[in-house]
Amino acid sequence: MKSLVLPFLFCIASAPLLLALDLTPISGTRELEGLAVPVVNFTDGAEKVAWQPPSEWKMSGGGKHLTLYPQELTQAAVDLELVDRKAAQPPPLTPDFEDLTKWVKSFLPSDATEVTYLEEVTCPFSLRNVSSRELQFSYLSQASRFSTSISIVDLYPSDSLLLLVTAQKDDFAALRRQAIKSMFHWSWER
Amino acid sequence: MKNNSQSGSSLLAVMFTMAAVSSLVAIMLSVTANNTRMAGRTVHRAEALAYGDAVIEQVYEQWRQAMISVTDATDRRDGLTNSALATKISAPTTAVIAAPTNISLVSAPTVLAATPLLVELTAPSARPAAESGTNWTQRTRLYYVATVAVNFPVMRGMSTVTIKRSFVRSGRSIFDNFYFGAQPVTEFHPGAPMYIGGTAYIGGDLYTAHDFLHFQKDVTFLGTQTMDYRVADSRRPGTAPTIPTNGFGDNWDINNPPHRGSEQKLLDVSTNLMDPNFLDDSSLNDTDSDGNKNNDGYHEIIEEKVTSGTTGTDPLQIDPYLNDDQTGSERLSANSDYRVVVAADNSVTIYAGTSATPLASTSAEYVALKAAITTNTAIKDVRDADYVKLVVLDVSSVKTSSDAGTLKDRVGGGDGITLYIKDTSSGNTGTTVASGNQTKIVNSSTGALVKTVTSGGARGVKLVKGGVLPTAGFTVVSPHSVYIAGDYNTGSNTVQPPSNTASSYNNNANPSPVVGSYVRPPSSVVGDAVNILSNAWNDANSDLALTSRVSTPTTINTAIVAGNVPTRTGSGNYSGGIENFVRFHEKWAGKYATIYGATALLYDSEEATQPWGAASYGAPDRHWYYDPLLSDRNPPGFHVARIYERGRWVLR
Repeated sequence: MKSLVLPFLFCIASAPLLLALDLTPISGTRELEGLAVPVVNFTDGAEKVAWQPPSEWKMSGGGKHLTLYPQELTQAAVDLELVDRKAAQPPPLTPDFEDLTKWVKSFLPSDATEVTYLEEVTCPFSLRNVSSRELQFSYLSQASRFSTSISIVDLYPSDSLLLLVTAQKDDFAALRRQAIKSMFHWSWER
Repeated sequence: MKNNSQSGSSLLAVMFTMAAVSSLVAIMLSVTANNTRMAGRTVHRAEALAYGDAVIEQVYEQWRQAMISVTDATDRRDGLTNSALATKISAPTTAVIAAPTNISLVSAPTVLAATPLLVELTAPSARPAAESGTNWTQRTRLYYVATVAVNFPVMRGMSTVTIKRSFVRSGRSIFDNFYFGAQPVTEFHPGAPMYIGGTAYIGGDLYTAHDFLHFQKDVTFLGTQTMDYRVADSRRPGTAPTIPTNGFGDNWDINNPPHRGSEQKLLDVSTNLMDPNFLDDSSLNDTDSDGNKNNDGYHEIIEEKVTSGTTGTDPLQIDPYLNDDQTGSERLSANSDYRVVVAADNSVTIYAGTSATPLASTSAEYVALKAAITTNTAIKDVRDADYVKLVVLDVSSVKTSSDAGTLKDRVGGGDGITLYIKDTSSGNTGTTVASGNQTKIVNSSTGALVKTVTSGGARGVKLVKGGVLPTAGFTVVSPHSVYIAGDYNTGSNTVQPPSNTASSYNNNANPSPVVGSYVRPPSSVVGDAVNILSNAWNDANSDLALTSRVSTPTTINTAIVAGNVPTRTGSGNYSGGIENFVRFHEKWAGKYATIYGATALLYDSEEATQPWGAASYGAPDRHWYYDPLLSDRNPPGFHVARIYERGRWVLR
């Protein structure tokens, strides 16, 4: 009997840790020298994530997928997505990028054509000391040239957090920079 | 009918009356004549005084022009001799100032060198006697006495009035105060105890709203004082200020609350020569509006002069003979003894003085400086939201080379060593090694690689092992963020000063900021933003949560010039106030962050532009004091503003 109690207690104690990040945004504040700074909170098991995205971005979604729309840009979006860790891993970068193209198409609009691999960026940001890996692509959609980047952070044993930045080619660099800068403002609190 | 006796009596009475009236008239005439003469003398004397004063004003301008235009180094340092000055001073022509009727100068006006007690020195070769109390020639006050004697008419001939007035040349700098603020709005809202033991000069409006704040010295402002948050601050309205009894409880001396003061012009460059976009309250419009890339606010002092393309005149080149060594720019890059330029590929080029030719990589100076520099490491700066690629400067290595004479004071006439450090890949948005953005975080203690990262373009300079500075004095300047890691100018890289170890440190305590009898050389740290990292800092922890970035008490003994990000309208938006004039990145949790020195907020940050609300730190217990050593000697690289004044006049 005793031998069953300990594993049971362990499961109870570790249950919150097993709960995944919930990307449903909750308005909150964090205190900095007496000033309440507005933040977006996510729950992460027993913990709470505080994030400070640009205040002018509008949010939509929750759960495992949150989309943010920069108001000053059209046809641009920033997505946070929690995906199965195995599915999040890009295939090896072969010379023809064939497998990589297939992989990225699952994140692109269905009409995306002329998908081109641009480059990989080594750790543009990290979360909880876990490095990110960013892959950038270009594609054609609705007769416009778009760029998209997918940053992968293997944040949990079973899930990875993806940051997807999509914008028309000329808007992409600035939006990517803004999105990545915002990722520096993630912090976990109990 | 009257008899003879009665007629005689009447005649006598009439005669007596007439005599009395005549006497009275005579007395009245005499008094009137005297009064007329006295009034006339008074009028003439007043005219003479007014004329003499006007002549002295003209002589003052002649003296000031003579003192400004001197090119000889000795004359600039010690003042003109009487004989040299005599050739520059003359009576104004009647076209300039016409003398009133019957009033004239006795002789040509004179200006003689004097002692600080205004005793005139008459020898032709005499210069002003040196003022005691300062060892620095740029700051020494020089006294002269001007004399004008004027003739004016009196009843019997002429009289003379002599007018004397002292002329003083002095030197002042931005480091005459603990805090010198040039921005239109200044906020102090600390969330933890903050003691300011030095005068504060607010060049605009002052906002205070917290009883954590303790001004221990004189505070002046040019605009208004408000004991509340500024309108753009999201706390107003809604959050009541916590500043009981109008601050008279313990925020400031009951007999000396903050008060309106006079303008301090401590930089020679005039504001009306600057692009106004960079001088206003907002940093959102910090873009060139007049086509001149050399006048974009006081941030120019940490930039190099732009010489290509459309530029315009450089207002910081203000006086070719400003300094004792006849260099005359307020750009610290122009006043640097060495300019260190790091390229995207991490190669290091070093220029000595104002030379445009790089030092040979085999020269002793290059080898010494290169040995003190480590390139291509990074820290995560949460507020700046980037991996900041660093140039790490080992100050102890610079000290060794400087004290041994390998590194030389090439500019500034013996003011100490000034290093200007710039990374030309700053702002690159590339992501590759070639763009200079791929870099690495290493463990500060072991040097072990922690992780490879890609910077978004932020660059910085980190100062390490800065406990003991070059004896001659030391200034580090960069157009990027500067991070001071650990005790600075305290006398040791290993032993803690009492200001770190004091167990109780209230507003009256004043534990020594140095180890033993260490004498602090004059120094400054100047950057787009200046950050303080504690003695416990390790770059490896910068990528970890705040709970892994726990500080220990740290003391910084230096003057600091930096920028900030002004408050913008919006929820949670605040500049961080002067309490965050230096930026923190650790969980200080009330540990002491001591500064002995001076601070000058002259510009908006142009690289480290993320708002304060994005920062990740816990507030320290701030004890900031003015270092009186700075009133005697500027840090290397800085000039003084020469101030010319005239004292009260006296009559003889």
